[in-house]
Amino acid sequence: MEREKFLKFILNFLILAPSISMFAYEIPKEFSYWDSLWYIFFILPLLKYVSPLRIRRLVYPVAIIIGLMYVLISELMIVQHTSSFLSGLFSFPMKTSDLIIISFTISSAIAFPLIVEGVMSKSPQGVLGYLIGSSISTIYFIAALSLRRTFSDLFSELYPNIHISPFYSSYMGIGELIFFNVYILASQGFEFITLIITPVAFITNMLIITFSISIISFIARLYLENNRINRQPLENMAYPIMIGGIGALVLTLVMNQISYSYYGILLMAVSLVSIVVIMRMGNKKDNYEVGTLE
Amino acid sequence: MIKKRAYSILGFLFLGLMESLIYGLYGYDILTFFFMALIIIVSVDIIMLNSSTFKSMKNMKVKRTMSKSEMKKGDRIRVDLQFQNDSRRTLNFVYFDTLLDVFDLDGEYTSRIKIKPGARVTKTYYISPQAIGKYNVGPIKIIANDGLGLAFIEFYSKKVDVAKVAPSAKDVFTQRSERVSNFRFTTGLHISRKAGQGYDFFGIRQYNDSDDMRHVAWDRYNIYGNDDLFVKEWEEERHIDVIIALDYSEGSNIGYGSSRLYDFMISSTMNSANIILKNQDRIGFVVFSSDHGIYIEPTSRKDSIEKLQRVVSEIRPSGTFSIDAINKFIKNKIKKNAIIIVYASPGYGKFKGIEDKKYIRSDKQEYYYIINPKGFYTESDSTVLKEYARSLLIFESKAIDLSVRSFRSFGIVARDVYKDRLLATTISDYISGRNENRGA
Repeated sequence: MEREKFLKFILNFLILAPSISMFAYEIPKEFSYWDSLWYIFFILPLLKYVSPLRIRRLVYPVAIIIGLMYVLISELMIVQHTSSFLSGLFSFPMKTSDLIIISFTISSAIAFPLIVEGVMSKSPQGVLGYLIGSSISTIYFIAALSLRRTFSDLFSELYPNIHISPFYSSYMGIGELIFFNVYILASQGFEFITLIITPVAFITNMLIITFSISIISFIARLYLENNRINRQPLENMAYPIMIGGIGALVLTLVMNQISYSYYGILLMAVSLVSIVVIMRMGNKKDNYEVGTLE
Repeated sequence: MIKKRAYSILGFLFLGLMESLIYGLYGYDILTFFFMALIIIVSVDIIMLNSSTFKSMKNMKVKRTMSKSEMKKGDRIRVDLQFQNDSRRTLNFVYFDTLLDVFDLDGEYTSRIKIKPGARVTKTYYISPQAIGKYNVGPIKIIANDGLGLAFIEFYSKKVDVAKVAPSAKDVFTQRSERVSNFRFTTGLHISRKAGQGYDFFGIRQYNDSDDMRHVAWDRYNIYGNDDLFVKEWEEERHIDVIIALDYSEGSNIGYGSSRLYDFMISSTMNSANIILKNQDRIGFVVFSSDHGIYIEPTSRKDSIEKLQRVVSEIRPSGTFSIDAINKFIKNKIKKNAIIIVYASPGYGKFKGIEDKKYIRSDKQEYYYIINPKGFYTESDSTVLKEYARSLLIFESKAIDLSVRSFRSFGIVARDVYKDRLLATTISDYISGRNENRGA
């Protein structure tokens, strides 16, 4: 049983391989841009897993409450113009440039607790959730890096009054583009704004390898989630994996051909939703009788 | 049935897909492939289970064979399960035979099976009943699941066998007269007494005109100097009918494993009955609840005990019980005088007010036992649960004690009887009842 637990832990690690590898790639590059509060994000998961079992689940909520209280008290200090020895302690930065740095630190350093929680997760769906959460943060940074390489000066011109580095400019630019893309998708229902940016080849290769590892590990993790008695022979999974691989490949190629246009997204949505609807309609909920041997 | 886990995984995957669409714009479309592939794998895996596996499983046939259906408590009975795959593909599934916890199990009553097309597989297991009664064996449940464990389909074979469990000879130790432990119940009883073989001297009283002159006690003539005659009185020895009435309601269905109240009541009844029979008295039984109303007439041989064995192996405790109902039943069925010993469960045996005053008291010599539930509950290792169980039992004992006092206020001989004292109390009351000699 312990062996199985350890194996699940290893598989969780492999499922999160894309996020872990991206985060490892990013840390040296983003470290100099982080605010000093980054260490909180690295300490919190460790603090959680060394604290007693009884209070473990309270670590994150309490940390969030303390953080929000700190912001609130700082705001009150500013509003009341109070000057005391606490003024120096509660001095949440209100300058825009500082806020950008803090928001960058939070959005990128949060990948660490998400990865740790994903590795420690007990359910496969949990690991998947943490993978998605942490990859949002890590890929965002990767996209910002790519954008900076392509348009290093563009965003500095967009924010002439704010003296921030080109990195933060591209970081904010990516965020705005994402919001804009989502807004267009929701309101207009078509055409994302595609930026002509060159993906980093090393990152692309790393993602292909790590996501492949992640798919295999996720399937293995689902398989191991069953009790020993409920485990089907591995050959039973061959067809779904083969069909999944071919189907996804065809759809991705089609999407690439029509460059993520309205039709591409529609085709993908219709295909995937149809599969899920067929799956749901075929659901066998009853008890079915088998024959009696004479 | 698709598990909730499958829906949450698909939910996360669709969320990831939406995320990938955004990042796909920046050239990282591997994410789109990753999430689409997983969505299709998960969905196709479940679709295949519900289509091809389902159709193949419907072509399977199952059979159960029990070596015997009538058994005694503690017997080891062989059960064979046969599975035949009449489909065109290899089937892989989990099965289990639905069995109650009264059976101790040994062998492959549940397992995973892989059957090739046209093949037949036999699995064997053994059941050992730990309580008397009539129990179902089956139906066989079969569960087929997908490779990723995200869905399953349940099948069943509707064939159900019946196991009729009679008390074991081991429990009815009093039927063996050589056991030293049995003597404690019979010591002091007049085992040799038989009806019609003689009369016991009872006493003397003054002569009256209707008395037979043969019974005049001539040695007492004129002892007071006034020519008074006295006659001897004789007491006739008779069989006494003893009826043990059992509350066979749901209230008796408490306990666990081999320690179940109804099972214990039956074994105590049979032990008491053997002792009573050895003492040349007649023993009969009533098995009673709102669902059961079985009267076994008193006999001086083992017929009634054997009949009780057969009866209790055919039924299980069910329905409700009350003192009024059983007294009414006894009044209708038993016309002769008899000693009635009622074993009532703590559930329904307690005093709940008087529904029918006419029957609250029996017209016979009745002893009413409320069996204390102590000894019929599992003991937990947890200190908290142990304390909780202890306080519940104290509460229950207090309630029974209150009931006993309420019954006594109506002139009923009621007792709160603990498991270990049931047989001794029955015999003790039987002896005292017999000494009152209210024979038929």
